[in-house]
Amino acid sequence: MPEMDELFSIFDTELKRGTLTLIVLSQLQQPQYGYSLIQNIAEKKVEIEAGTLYPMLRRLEKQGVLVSDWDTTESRPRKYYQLSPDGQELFRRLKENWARLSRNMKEILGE
Amino acid sequence: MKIIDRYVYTVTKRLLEKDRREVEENLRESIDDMLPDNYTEADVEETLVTLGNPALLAEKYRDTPHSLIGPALYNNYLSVLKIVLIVVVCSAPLMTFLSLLTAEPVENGLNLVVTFFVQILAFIFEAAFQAFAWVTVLFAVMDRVNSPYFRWPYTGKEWTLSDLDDTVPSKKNEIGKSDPIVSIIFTLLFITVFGFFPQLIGGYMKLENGWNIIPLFNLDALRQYLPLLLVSAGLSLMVDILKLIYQKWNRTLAIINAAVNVFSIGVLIAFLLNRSIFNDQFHIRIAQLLETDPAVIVKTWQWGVWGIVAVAILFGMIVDSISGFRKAAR
Repeated sequence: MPEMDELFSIFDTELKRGTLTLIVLSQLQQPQYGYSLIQNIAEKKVEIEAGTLYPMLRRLEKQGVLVSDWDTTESRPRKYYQLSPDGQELFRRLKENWARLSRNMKEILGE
Repeated sequence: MKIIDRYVYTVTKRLLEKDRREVEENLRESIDDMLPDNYTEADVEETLVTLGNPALLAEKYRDTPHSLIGPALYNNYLSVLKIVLIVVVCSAPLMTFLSLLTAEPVENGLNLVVTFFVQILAFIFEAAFQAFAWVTVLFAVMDRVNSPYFRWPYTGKEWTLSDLDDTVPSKKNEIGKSDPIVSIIFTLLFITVFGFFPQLIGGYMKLENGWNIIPLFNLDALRQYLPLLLVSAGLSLMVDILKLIYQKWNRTLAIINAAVNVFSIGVLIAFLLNRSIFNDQFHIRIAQLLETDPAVIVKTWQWGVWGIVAVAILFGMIVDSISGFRKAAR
Protein backbone atom coordinates (compact mmCIF):
# COMPACT_ATOMS: atom_id res chain seq x y z
CA MET A 1 0.00 0.00 0.00
CA PRO A 2 2.03 2.97 -1.24
CA GLU A 3 -0.37 5.66 0.10
CA MET A 4 -0.25 4.20 3.61
CA ASP A 5 1.68 7.12 5.09
CA GLU A 6 -0.54 9.63 3.38
CA LEU A 7 -3.67 7.87 4.63
CA PHE A 8 -2.23 7.64 8.13
CA SER A 9 -1.51 11.35 8.26
CA ILE A 10 -5.10 12.20 7.19
CA PHE A 11 -6.60 10.05 9.97
CA ASP A 12 -4.01 11.22 12.47
CA THR A 13 -4.81 14.89 11.79
CA GLU A 14 -8.52 14.23 12.18
CA LEU A 15 -7.94 12.40 15.44
CA LYS A 16 -5.84 15.22 16.91
CA ARG A 17 -7.91 18.17 15.75
CA GLY A 18 -10.26 18.30 18.73
CA THR A 19 -7.67 17.37 21.33
CA LEU A 20 -5.49 20.35 20.44
CA THR A 21 -8.19 22.80 21.56
CA LEU A 22 -8.66 20.86 24.77
CA ILE A 23 -4.92 20.95 25.47
CA VAL A 24 -4.81 24.72 24.93
CA LEU A 25 -7.83 25.25 27.22
CA SER A 26 -6.25 23.09 29.92
CA GLN A 27 -3.11 25.25 29.94
CA LEU A 28 -4.99 28.53 30.18
CA GLN A 29 -6.48 28.15 33.65
CA GLN A 30 -3.56 30.45 34.57
CA PRO A 31 -2.74 33.43 32.34
CA GLN A 32 -0.09 32.72 29.72
CA TYR A 33 1.25 34.38 26.63
CA GLY A 34 1.37 32.59 23.29
CA TYR A 35 5.03 31.69 23.15
CA SER A 36 5.17 30.31 26.70
CA LEU A 37 2.09 28.26 25.83
CA ILE A 38 3.90 26.69 22.88
CA GLN A 39 6.86 25.82 25.10
CA ASN A 40 4.68 24.43 27.90
CA ILE A 41 2.79 22.24 25.50
CA ALA A 42 6.02 21.10 23.83
CA GLU A 43 7.33 20.03 27.23
CA LYS A 44 4.35 17.69 27.46
CA LYS A 45 5.58 16.09 24.22
CA VAL A 46 2.69 17.46 22.15
CA GLU A 47 3.59 19.41 19.04
CA ILE A 48 1.65 22.54 18.29
CA GLU A 49 2.69 24.85 15.48
CA ALA A 50 2.81 28.57 16.08
CA GLY A 51 0.86 29.01 12.84
CA THR A 52 -1.96 26.95 14.35
CA LEU A 53 -1.88 28.30 17.89
CA TYR A 54 -2.07 32.06 17.28
CA PRO A 55 -5.11 31.93 14.99
CA MET A 56 -6.71 29.52 17.47
CA LEU A 57 -6.16 31.93 20.38
CA ARG A 58 -7.70 34.74 18.36
CA ARG A 59 -10.73 32.59 17.44
CA LEU A 60 -11.25 31.40 21.03
CA GLU A 61 -11.10 34.99 22.26
CA LYS A 62 -13.65 36.04 19.63
CA GLN A 63 -15.91 33.19 20.76
CA GLY A 64 -15.67 34.44 24.34
CA VAL A 65 -13.86 31.34 25.60
CA LEU A 66 -10.70 33.30 26.41
CA VAL A 67 -10.02 36.78 27.70
CA SER A 68 -6.75 38.60 27.11
CA ASP A 69 -4.85 41.25 29.01
CA TRP A 70 -1.63 43.16 28.37
CA ASP A 71 1.07 42.82 30.97
CA THR A 72 3.23 45.92 30.86
CA THR A 73 5.19 45.37 34.06
CA GLU A 74 7.99 43.40 32.37
CA SER A 75 10.66 44.72 30.01
CA ARG A 76 8.38 44.24 27.02
CA PRO A 77 4.58 44.19 27.02
CA ARG A 78 2.98 40.81 26.41
CA LYS A 79 -0.56 39.70 25.73
CA TYR A 80 -1.72 37.15 28.31
CA TYR A 81 -4.61 34.80 27.63
CA GLN A 82 -6.79 33.13 30.24
CA LEU A 83 -10.07 31.17 30.35
CA SER A 84 -13.15 33.37 30.75
CA PRO A 85 -15.83 32.19 33.23
CA ASP A 86 -17.70 30.70 30.26
CA GLY A 87 -14.43 29.15 29.11
CA GLN A 88 -13.96 27.56 32.54
CA GLU A 89 -17.41 25.99 32.29
CA LEU A 90 -16.72 24.84 28.72
CA PHE A 91 -13.41 23.30 29.76
CA ARG A 92 -14.97 21.51 32.75
CA ARG A 93 -17.62 19.92 30.54
CA LEU A 94 -15.18 18.98 27.79
CA LYS A 95 -12.85 17.43 30.35
CA GLU A 96 -15.68 15.31 31.74
CA ASN A 97 -16.57 14.25 28.25
CA TRP A 98 -12.98 13.38 27.49
CA ALA A 99 -12.75 11.19 30.61
CA ARG A 100 -15.84 9.30 29.51
CA LEU A 101 -14.61 9.03 25.95
CA SER A 102 -11.20 7.74 26.95
CA ARG A 103 -12.73 5.15 29.31
CA ASN A 104 -14.95 3.96 26.47
CA MET A 105 -12.10 3.94 24.01
CA LYS A 106 -9.88 2.00 26.36
CA GLU A 107 -12.60 -0.62 26.71
CA ILE A 108 -13.24 -0.78 22.97
CA LEU A 109 -9.61 -0.88 21.95
CA GLY A 110 -8.68 -3.27 24.74
CA GLU A 111 -11.01 -5.94 23.43
CA MET B 1 11.32 45.49 9.94
CA LYS B 2 10.46 45.41 6.28
CA ILE B 3 10.29 41.64 6.05
CA ILE B 4 7.60 41.50 8.75
CA ASP B 5 5.52 43.99 6.77
CA ARG B 6 5.94 41.85 3.66
CA TYR B 7 4.96 38.68 5.51
CA VAL B 8 1.93 40.29 7.20
CA TYR B 9 0.81 41.77 3.90
CA THR B 10 1.06 38.38 2.16
CA VAL B 11 -1.25 36.92 4.82
CA THR B 12 -3.81 39.71 5.10
CA LYS B 13 -4.28 40.34 1.41
CA ARG B 14 -5.90 36.90 1.28
CA LEU B 15 -8.55 37.92 3.82
CA LEU B 16 -11.75 39.90 3.58
CA GLU B 17 -11.32 43.67 3.78
CA LYS B 18 -13.24 43.90 7.06
CA ASP B 19 -11.05 41.34 8.85
CA ARG B 20 -7.67 42.62 7.65
CA ARG B 21 -6.95 45.29 10.24
CA GLU B 22 -7.80 43.05 13.17
CA VAL B 23 -5.89 40.03 11.85
CA GLU B 24 -2.89 42.21 11.06
CA GLU B 25 -2.84 43.47 14.62
CA ASN B 26 -3.14 39.96 15.99
CA LEU B 27 -0.46 38.64 13.65
CA ARG B 28 2.02 41.40 14.53
CA GLU B 29 1.44 40.72 18.22
CA SER B 30 2.03 37.03 17.61
CA ILE B 31 5.29 37.64 15.76
CA ASP B 32 6.38 39.99 18.51
CA ASP B 33 5.42 37.38 21.08
CA MET B 34 7.63 34.76 19.43
CA LEU B 35 10.71 36.97 19.09
CA PRO B 36 13.34 36.90 21.84
CA ASP B 37 14.55 40.06 23.58
CA ASN B 38 17.03 42.12 21.51
CA TYR B 39 16.28 40.09 18.43
CA THR B 40 18.29 40.19 15.22
CA GLU B 41 17.31 40.03 11.59
CA ALA B 42 18.05 36.27 11.65
CA ASP B 43 15.64 35.79 14.58
CA VAL B 44 12.90 37.52 12.63
CA GLU B 45 13.51 35.33 9.61
CA GLU B 46 13.44 32.19 11.73
CA THR B 47 10.18 33.27 13.38
CA LEU B 48 8.48 33.93 10.05
CA VAL B 49 9.62 30.56 8.69
CA THR B 50 8.24 28.91 11.84
CA LEU B 51 4.86 30.58 11.30
CA GLY B 52 4.83 28.87 7.92
CA ASN B 53 3.32 29.46 4.50
CA PRO B 54 1.39 32.78 4.60
CA ALA B 55 -1.38 31.38 2.40
CA LEU B 56 -1.98 28.49 4.84
CA LEU B 57 -1.85 30.87 7.78
CA ALA B 58 -4.43 33.13 6.09
CA GLU B 59 -6.61 30.05 5.69
CA LYS B 60 -6.49 29.50 9.46
CA TYR B 61 -7.40 33.12 10.14
CA ARG B 62 -10.41 33.02 7.83
CA ASP B 63 -13.86 32.83 9.46
CA THR B 64 -16.08 32.80 6.37
CA PRO B 65 -16.96 29.66 4.37
CA HIS B 66 -14.19 28.39 2.14
CA SER B 67 -16.33 27.23 -0.75
CA LEU B 68 -18.65 28.81 -3.26
CA ILE B 69 -20.96 25.79 -3.27
CA GLY B 70 -20.70 23.40 -0.34
CA PRO B 71 -20.78 19.60 -0.50
CA ALA B 72 -24.51 19.52 0.38
CA LEU B 73 -25.49 21.17 -2.89
CA TYR B 74 -22.54 20.27 -5.08
CA ASN B 75 -24.01 17.13 -6.65
CA ASN B 76 -27.28 18.87 -7.49
CA TYR B 77 -25.28 21.73 -8.93
CA LEU B 78 -23.35 19.42 -11.23
CA SER B 79 -26.41 17.60 -12.52
CA VAL B 80 -28.37 20.82 -13.16
CA LEU B 81 -25.34 22.28 -14.93
CA LYS B 82 -25.00 19.18 -17.10
CA ILE B 83 -28.66 19.29 -18.18
CA VAL B 84 -28.61 23.01 -18.88
CA LEU B 85 -25.45 22.67 -20.98
CA ILE B 86 -26.93 19.76 -22.95
CA VAL B 87 -30.01 21.89 -23.71
CA VAL B 88 -27.82 24.80 -24.81
CA VAL B 89 -25.65 22.67 -27.10
CA CYS B 90 -28.61 20.81 -28.63
CA SER B 91 -30.68 23.90 -29.30
CA ALA B 92 -27.73 25.75 -30.88
CA PRO B 93 -28.19 24.56 -34.50
CA LEU B 94 -31.89 25.40 -34.61
CA MET B 95 -31.52 28.76 -32.89
CA THR B 96 -28.68 29.65 -35.26
CA PHE B 97 -30.78 28.58 -38.22
CA LEU B 98 -33.53 30.93 -37.07
CA SER B 99 -31.20 33.87 -36.64
CA LEU B 100 -29.74 33.25 -40.12
CA LEU B 101 -33.22 33.19 -41.65
CA THR B 102 -33.90 36.65 -40.33
CA ALA B 103 -30.45 38.01 -41.16
CA GLU B 104 -29.42 39.70 -44.39
CA PRO B 105 -28.96 37.15 -47.19
CA VAL B 106 -25.38 36.20 -48.03
CA GLU B 107 -24.03 35.97 -51.55
CA ASN B 108 -23.05 32.37 -52.16
CA GLY B 109 -23.73 28.91 -50.80
CA LEU B 110 -20.31 28.20 -49.32
CA ASN B 111 -20.44 31.35 -47.26
CA LEU B 112 -23.80 30.35 -45.86
CA VAL B 113 -22.54 26.97 -44.65
CA VAL B 114 -19.43 28.50 -43.09
CA THR B 115 -21.46 31.25 -41.44
CA PHE B 116 -23.88 28.66 -40.11
CA PHE B 117 -21.20 26.60 -38.38
CA VAL B 118 -19.29 29.60 -37.08
CA GLN B 119 -22.50 31.00 -35.63
CA ILE B 120 -23.41 27.68 -34.03
CA LEU B 121 -20.05 27.68 -32.25
CA ALA B 122 -20.47 31.32 -31.26
CA PHE B 123 -23.95 30.61 -29.93
CA ILE B 124 -22.77 27.60 -27.90
CA PHE B 125 -19.81 29.56 -26.53
CA GLU B 126 -21.89 32.55 -25.50
CA ALA B 127 -24.93 30.69 -24.21
CA ALA B 128 -22.87 28.07 -22.36
CA PHE B 129 -21.02 30.77 -20.45
CA GLN B 130 -24.27 32.55 -19.65
CA ALA B 131 -25.86 29.30 -18.48
CA PHE B 132 -22.80 28.35 -16.45
CA ALA B 133 -22.70 31.76 -14.79
CA TRP B 134 -26.40 31.83 -13.90
CA VAL B 135 -26.55 28.28 -12.56
CA THR B 136 -23.43 28.93 -10.49
CA VAL B 137 -24.77 32.20 -9.09
CA LEU B 138 -28.10 30.55 -8.26
CA PHE B 139 -26.44 27.71 -6.37
CA ALA B 140 -23.97 30.01 -4.61
CA VAL B 141 -26.93 32.07 -3.34
CA MET B 142 -28.76 28.90 -2.28
CA ASP B 143 -25.62 27.81 -0.44
CA ARG B 144 -25.44 31.15 1.43
CA VAL B 145 -29.17 31.12 2.27
CA ASN B 146 -28.74 27.51 3.45
CA SER B 147 -32.45 26.85 3.87
CA PRO B 148 -33.65 23.34 4.83
CA TYR B 149 -35.96 23.57 1.80
CA PHE B 150 -32.92 23.13 -0.47
CA ARG B 151 -32.07 19.76 1.03
CA TRP B 152 -33.87 16.47 0.45
CA PRO B 153 -36.79 15.87 1.21
CA TYR B 154 -37.33 19.62 0.43
CA THR B 155 -40.16 19.91 2.98
CA GLY B 156 -38.22 22.20 5.31
CA LYS B 157 -38.65 19.66 8.11
CA GLU B 158 -36.65 16.78 9.50
CA TRP B 159 -37.02 13.77 7.18
CA THR B 160 -39.21 10.84 8.12
CA LEU B 161 -39.55 7.36 6.68
CA SER B 162 -42.72 8.45 4.88
CA ASP B 163 -40.63 10.85 2.79
CA LEU B 164 -38.99 7.87 1.11
CA ASP B 165 -40.35 7.10 -2.35
CA ASP B 166 -42.94 4.33 -2.49
CA THR B 167 -40.90 2.48 -5.04
CA VAL B 168 -37.35 2.55 -6.26
CA PRO B 169 -36.89 3.29 -9.97
CA SER B 170 -37.25 0.24 -12.15
CA LYS B 171 -37.54 -0.38 -15.86
CA LYS B 172 -41.31 -0.05 -15.51
CA ASN B 173 -41.63 3.37 -13.93
CA GLU B 174 -38.40 5.21 -14.57
CA ILE B 175 -38.19 8.35 -16.66
CA GLY B 176 -35.03 8.55 -18.73
CA LYS B 177 -33.22 11.86 -18.83
CA SER B 178 -33.36 12.10 -22.63
CA ASP B 179 -37.15 12.45 -23.02
CA PRO B 180 -37.54 15.53 -20.82
CA ILE B 181 -34.37 17.08 -22.24
CA VAL B 182 -35.56 16.63 -25.84
CA SER B 183 -38.92 18.04 -24.78
CA ILE B 184 -37.26 21.07 -23.14
CA ILE B 185 -35.27 21.77 -26.32
CA PHE B 186 -38.39 21.63 -28.50
CA THR B 187 -40.39 23.74 -26.07
CA LEU B 188 -37.67 26.41 -26.06
CA LEU B 189 -37.67 26.30 -29.85
CA PHE B 190 -41.46 26.63 -29.86
CA ILE B 191 -41.27 29.64 -27.55
CA THR B 192 -38.59 31.25 -29.70
CA VAL B 193 -40.41 30.68 -32.99
CA PHE B 194 -43.90 31.67 -31.84
CA GLY B 195 -42.73 34.44 -29.54
CA PHE B 196 -40.14 36.11 -31.74
CA PHE B 197 -40.33 34.82 -35.32
CA PRO B 198 -43.99 33.89 -36.07
CA GLN B 199 -43.63 35.45 -39.53
CA LEU B 200 -41.17 32.71 -40.46
CA ILE B 201 -43.78 29.96 -40.20
CA GLY B 202 -45.26 29.73 -43.63
CA GLY B 203 -44.81 28.79 -47.25
CA TYR B 204 -41.43 29.50 -48.79
CA MET B 205 -41.25 30.41 -52.45
CA LYS B 206 -38.04 30.90 -54.36
CA LEU B 207 -37.87 34.20 -56.11
CA GLU B 208 -35.10 35.58 -58.23
CA ASN B 209 -33.62 37.64 -55.42
CA GLY B 210 -34.18 35.38 -52.43
CA TRP B 211 -37.11 33.77 -50.69
CA ASN B 212 -40.64 34.99 -50.39
CA ILE B 213 -42.44 33.86 -47.26
CA ILE B 214 -46.22 33.70 -47.06
CA PRO B 215 -47.01 33.47 -43.35
CA LEU B 216 -49.21 30.57 -42.36
CA PHE B 217 -50.75 32.51 -39.49
CA ASN B 218 -52.63 35.74 -39.31
CA LEU B 219 -50.07 37.52 -37.14
CA ASP B 220 -52.53 39.86 -35.39
CA ALA B 221 -54.79 36.98 -34.42
CA LEU B 222 -51.79 34.91 -33.35
CA ARG B 223 -50.60 37.67 -31.03
CA GLN B 224 -53.83 37.37 -29.02
CA TYR B 225 -53.17 33.70 -28.40
CA LEU B 226 -49.53 34.24 -27.59
CA PRO B 227 -49.90 34.63 -23.77
CA LEU B 228 -51.87 31.38 -23.54
CA LEU B 229 -49.41 29.54 -25.78
CA LEU B 230 -46.48 30.78 -23.68
CA VAL B 231 -48.17 29.79 -20.41
CA SER B 232 -48.79 26.37 -21.89
CA ALA B 233 -45.12 26.11 -22.96
CA GLY B 234 -44.01 27.26 -19.50
CA LEU B 235 -46.13 24.57 -17.82
CA SER B 236 -44.67 21.99 -20.15
CA LEU B 237 -41.16 23.11 -19.13
CA MET B 238 -42.17 22.76 -15.49
CA VAL B 239 -43.36 19.18 -16.04
CA ASP B 240 -40.09 18.33 -17.81
CA ILE B 241 -38.08 19.76 -14.92
CA LEU B 242 -40.17 17.78 -12.42
CA LYS B 243 -39.51 14.65 -14.48
CA LEU B 244 -35.78 15.33 -14.31
CA ILE B 245 -36.00 15.82 -10.54
CA TYR B 246 -38.16 12.77 -9.71
CA GLN B 247 -36.59 10.51 -12.37
CA LYS B 248 -39.56 8.17 -12.04
CA TRP B 249 -43.33 8.33 -12.20
CA ASN B 250 -45.34 8.89 -9.05
CA ARG B 251 -48.93 9.89 -8.38
CA THR B 252 -48.28 13.61 -7.96
CA LEU B 253 -46.26 13.76 -11.15
CA ALA B 254 -48.91 11.80 -13.06
CA ILE B 255 -51.64 14.20 -11.88
CA ILE B 256 -49.60 17.30 -12.78
CA ASN B 257 -48.67 15.76 -16.13
CA ALA B 258 -52.32 14.99 -16.94
CA ALA B 259 -53.48 18.46 -15.86
CA VAL B 260 -50.85 20.20 -17.98
CA ASN B 261 -51.73 17.92 -20.91
CA VAL B 262 -55.41 18.84 -20.67
CA PHE B 263 -54.58 22.53 -20.44
CA SER B 264 -52.10 22.49 -23.34
CA ILE B 265 -54.37 20.51 -25.63
CA GLY B 266 -57.25 22.82 -24.69
CA VAL B 267 -55.17 25.82 -25.72
CA LEU B 268 -54.09 24.05 -28.91
CA ILE B 269 -57.70 23.22 -29.86
CA ALA B 270 -58.96 26.73 -29.17
CA PHE B 271 -56.05 28.03 -31.21
CA LEU B 272 -56.30 25.72 -34.23
CA LEU B 273 -60.08 25.72 -34.48
CA ASN B 274 -60.27 29.49 -34.63
CA ARG B 275 -60.51 30.07 -38.39
CA SER B 276 -59.26 33.63 -38.24
CA ILE B 277 -55.92 32.37 -36.98
CA PHE B 278 -54.86 31.30 -40.46
CA ASN B 279 -53.73 33.70 -43.12
CA ASP B 280 -56.18 33.78 -46.08
CA GLN B 281 -53.33 34.61 -48.43
CA PHE B 282 -51.70 31.31 -47.59
CA HIS B 283 -54.72 29.34 -48.81
CA ILE B 284 -55.07 31.49 -51.88
CA ARG B 285 -51.44 30.94 -52.87
CA ILE B 286 -51.73 27.18 -52.47
CA ALA B 287 -54.87 27.24 -54.59
CA GLN B 288 -53.02 29.22 -57.25
CA LEU B 289 -50.15 26.77 -57.23
CA LEU B 290 -52.45 23.76 -57.51
CA GLU B 291 -54.76 25.62 -59.89
CA THR B 292 -57.92 24.86 -57.94
CA ASP B 293 -60.62 26.76 -56.15
CA PRO B 294 -59.44 28.33 -52.84
CA ALA B 295 -62.66 27.10 -51.20
CA VAL B 296 -61.55 23.50 -51.79
CA ILE B 297 -58.21 24.22 -50.17
CA VAL B 298 -59.87 25.85 -47.15
CA LYS B 299 -62.15 22.84 -46.78
CA THR B 300 -59.26 20.37 -47.01
CA TRP B 301 -57.29 22.52 -44.60
CA GLN B 302 -60.11 22.33 -42.10
CA TRP B 303 -60.13 18.55 -42.28
CA GLY B 304 -56.40 18.49 -41.79
CA VAL B 305 -56.69 20.65 -38.70
CA TRP B 306 -59.40 18.38 -37.30
CA GLY B 307 -57.07 15.46 -37.91
CA ILE B 308 -54.23 17.15 -36.03
CA VAL B 309 -56.57 17.99 -33.15
CA ALA B 310 -57.84 14.39 -32.99
CA VAL B 311 -54.31 12.95 -32.98
CA ALA B 312 -53.23 15.50 -30.34
CA ILE B 313 -56.16 14.60 -28.09
CA LEU B 314 -55.63 10.88 -28.53
CA PHE B 315 -51.87 10.71 -28.03
CA GLY B 316 -50.97 13.91 -26.25
CA MET B 317 -53.84 13.91 -23.81
CA ILE B 318 -55.24 10.45 -23.34
CA VAL B 319 -52.37 8.05 -24.04
CA ASP B 320 -49.64 10.13 -22.39
CA SER B 321 -51.73 10.96 -19.29
CA ILE B 322 -52.91 7.39 -18.75
CA SER B 323 -49.44 6.00 -19.29
CA GLY B 324 -48.24 8.35 -16.56
CA PHE B 325 -50.78 7.01 -14.10
CA ARG B 326 -50.10 3.39 -15.05
CA LYS B 327 -46.37 3.78 -14.60
CA ALA B 328 -46.91 5.62 -11.30
CA ALA B 329 -48.97 2.67 -10.01
CA ARG B 330 -46.19 0.11 -10.55
